[in-house]
Amino acid sequence: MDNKKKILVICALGYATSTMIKKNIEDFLNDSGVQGWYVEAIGLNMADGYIKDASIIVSSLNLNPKDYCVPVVNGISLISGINKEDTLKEILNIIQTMD
Amino acid sequence: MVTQTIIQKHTRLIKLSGSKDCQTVLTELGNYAIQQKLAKEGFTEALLEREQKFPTGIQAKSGIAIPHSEQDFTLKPTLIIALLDKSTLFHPMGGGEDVSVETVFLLLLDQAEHQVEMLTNIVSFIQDENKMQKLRSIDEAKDTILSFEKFFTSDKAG
Repeated sequence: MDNKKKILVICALGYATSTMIKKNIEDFLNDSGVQGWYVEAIGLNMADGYIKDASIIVSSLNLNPKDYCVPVVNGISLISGINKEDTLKEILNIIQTMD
Repeated sequence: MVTQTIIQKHTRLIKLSGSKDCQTVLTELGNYAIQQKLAKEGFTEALLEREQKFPTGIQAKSGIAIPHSEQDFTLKPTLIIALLDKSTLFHPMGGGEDVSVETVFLLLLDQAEHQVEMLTNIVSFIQDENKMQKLRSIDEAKDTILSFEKFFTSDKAG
């Protein structure tokens, strides 16, 4: 995974909603034929060390994008299903600008 | 008040009546989990605190909430599905407007890897209006919770 870019999924505890969102993104990347990216899930308390090598952050929390130097995407739709396609498209667009 | 329960090994479907706000709902559910020896003492307080800091209301096709706390509180991995007789306002996960919640999925999980599958299944479930409706009609709900049971298969405790 050394050369792969990372999408970091952040939730409060790092095991429930981030896992749900992670799985959704992984499936989408797979279906879209996106390569060279991987997804990691982490809790907000532990996130500091994981953020520095992340290229995109997706979260179920109300994070302030200004606190991060990479794009922050709200991932709630990947749990609720409402406007899910828009969120996935947003992630894909960001990926395409970085590849 | 918990008025009706369908109990399976790892999935509980309960009806909750008379809860006026989200704190009451969470308190009743937390206490139920402790009383049923599914969660440790202190779980209810942890649940309330966590919900206050990081709310879990989600506006899917219908309003749901997925409260949970640290895995350390789990005595027995269980999914508790609570049907509320009256919808109750929960603060939204990820910001936005309050969510009028009818169904609560209380997650009591441990570290086991197979639960990824269960979490994924919950997501596809809450996105499916038909399944959510089926869940709310109590007779048919048994099939639904049976389908969740299979995601706990690696439990060896018996």
